[in-house]
Amino acid sequence: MQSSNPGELPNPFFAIMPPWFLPAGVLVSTAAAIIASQALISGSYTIISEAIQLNFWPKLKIDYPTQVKGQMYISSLNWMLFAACVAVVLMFRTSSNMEAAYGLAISITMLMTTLLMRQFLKVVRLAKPLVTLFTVTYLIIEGTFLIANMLKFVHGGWFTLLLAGMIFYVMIIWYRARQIKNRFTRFVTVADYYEQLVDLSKDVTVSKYATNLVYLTRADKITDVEAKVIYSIFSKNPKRADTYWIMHIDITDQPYTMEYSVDHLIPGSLVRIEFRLGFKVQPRINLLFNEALRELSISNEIDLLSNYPSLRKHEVGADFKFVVIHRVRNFDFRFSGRERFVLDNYNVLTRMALSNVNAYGLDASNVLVEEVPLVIIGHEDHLLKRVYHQH
Amino acid sequence: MKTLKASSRDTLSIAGMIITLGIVFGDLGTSPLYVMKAIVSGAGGHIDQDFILGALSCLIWTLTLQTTVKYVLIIMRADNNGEGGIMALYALIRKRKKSLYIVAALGASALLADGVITPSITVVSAVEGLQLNFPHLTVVPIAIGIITALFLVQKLGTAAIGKSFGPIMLIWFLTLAALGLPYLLKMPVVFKAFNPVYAFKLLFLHPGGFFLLGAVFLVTTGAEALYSDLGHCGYKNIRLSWMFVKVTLIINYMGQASWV
Repeated sequence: MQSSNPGELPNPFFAIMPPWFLPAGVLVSTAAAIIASQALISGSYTIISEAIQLNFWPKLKIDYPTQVKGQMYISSLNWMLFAACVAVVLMFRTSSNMEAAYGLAISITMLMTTLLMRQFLKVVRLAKPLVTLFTVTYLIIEGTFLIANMLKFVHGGWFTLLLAGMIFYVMIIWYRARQIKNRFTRFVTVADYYEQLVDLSKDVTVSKYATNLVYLTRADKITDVEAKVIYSIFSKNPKRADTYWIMHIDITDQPYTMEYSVDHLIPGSLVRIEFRLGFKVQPRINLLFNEALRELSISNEIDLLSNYPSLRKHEVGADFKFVVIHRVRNFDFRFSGRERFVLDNYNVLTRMALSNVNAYGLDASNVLVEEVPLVIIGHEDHLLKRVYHQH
Repeated sequence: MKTLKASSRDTLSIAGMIITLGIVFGDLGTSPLYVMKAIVSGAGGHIDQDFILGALSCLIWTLTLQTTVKYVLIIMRADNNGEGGIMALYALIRKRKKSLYIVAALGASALLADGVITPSITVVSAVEGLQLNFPHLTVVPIAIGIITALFLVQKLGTAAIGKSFGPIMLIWFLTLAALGLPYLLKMPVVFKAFNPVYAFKLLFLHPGGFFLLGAVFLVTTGAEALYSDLGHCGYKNIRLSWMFVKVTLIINYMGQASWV
């Protein structure tokens, strides 16, 4: 073996090349480097798009430049990655400096994968000792790597950890805010409002808002709907329609599910449609809804022609209107400090996110966006005491 | 990036394996560009035969335990209808325990964060090769130029150039083996590195040896990406082509070790 030369160290990778091969060697290395980078970029798109579907990330605009499945382009992410990569090159300048920083964050990822895998092995009912063997072995190996990698923190590892921290912050805020919102979601039984709904639908003194009025709901149970939907239909500008639709989008644990089901709750007046989509399927609801409507029309379950006699005569299609309801944090309700922190940060993040209208590919001219308070305070709260004048 | 059709995903074919090479082994495959260099420069000048055998042994066993056993043999079985990656894994078990979302979010954000170093480190290392012929070359502007071009073309989609990725990576891995082999044959003593005792000696007896693991770890950073790309290529293709890739990687590392 060659004696060491601690001053100038050529990269052994290139040093083992015969001199005549070096130009070709650099060329093929560069090609491989570009391919590796491409894999990384595509991989990041994949992770973020899955994170969006699993409720970890604000909805972003996703384009599909080609017909190939899984090939996507997320403009905002592309330029963020680009900025970060250029920053890394400018900050570290040489590959030796990058080596000194690289790997710290990924050893955390590997530990987390081990922890998740432990749960998976339990799900598939692997024998307990084997699960423990796997978990302990890899916690030790990866823990050891993590400790050795800690040294990288001062050599630039802080940069990736800072970046990881920022991404983690967005994910956690997004996820927690959703949970808080869910906790304050009051569901009511739709059946309690059937009569009221039919009455409103027939009440000609209320001017008709739309032939078909579509609400998005998060209620998993077919019998339920959020109180905010009822509030929107009856209380906040009563909205008369011939047919009310309750649309529910369920993101399944599988990647490519694409199913829908339909329940005619009140034939002709109230329909619930549920889309079950995989976490890798882009929820282009407008497109999917239209397809479902065509099928329903063919099977004669619904009538796609306008209900207005004049329009019907000329075979004009029925009109649809979507209502998207945003619940905003109200200031008259006392949230805990932690909840306030999460919700306020969430509101900042929503500004960089795509609205539901765009994310679901809804036609914006057909959408009404309403804001209602997150918590609708019930009448049981007695804050004021009425006093009577003494005579 | 090209995705194999569902029908060819589960079946083995030479073509399928070559496409797989272009998709999943980028990070793992380009590690030879910088790993040995990082180890040598981490040694601080005390390089003897035991040191280099120990380092090589660490590389071989890290590749085996981490990449082969954990990722290729175990984790890849946790596919969610063919899809892999930390988020797909989380989707499989998210109903079990509410707190798992923190684990998944932490893992995914760390993966994304370290990801920004991958293009920089591979491109810069490759361009630095030019410095052997042109010592006064400035690497940074060239590297930034390449990276800029790469991000600019994303919008157009990469399906067209993606077709050439597999064959290029095949050439790449054959080059790795061809470069390493002559050195390896000249110095068969490096075969001793398969004995893990050398790895343990380096880690526990060599002063500062433990922290060389930071450099050694770079050899397996691509394993997590391997899992993420499961959905593009399928388990069988990845498993078989990994055997080929691992052989070429180890030959190359052994060759580099012999040179040192």
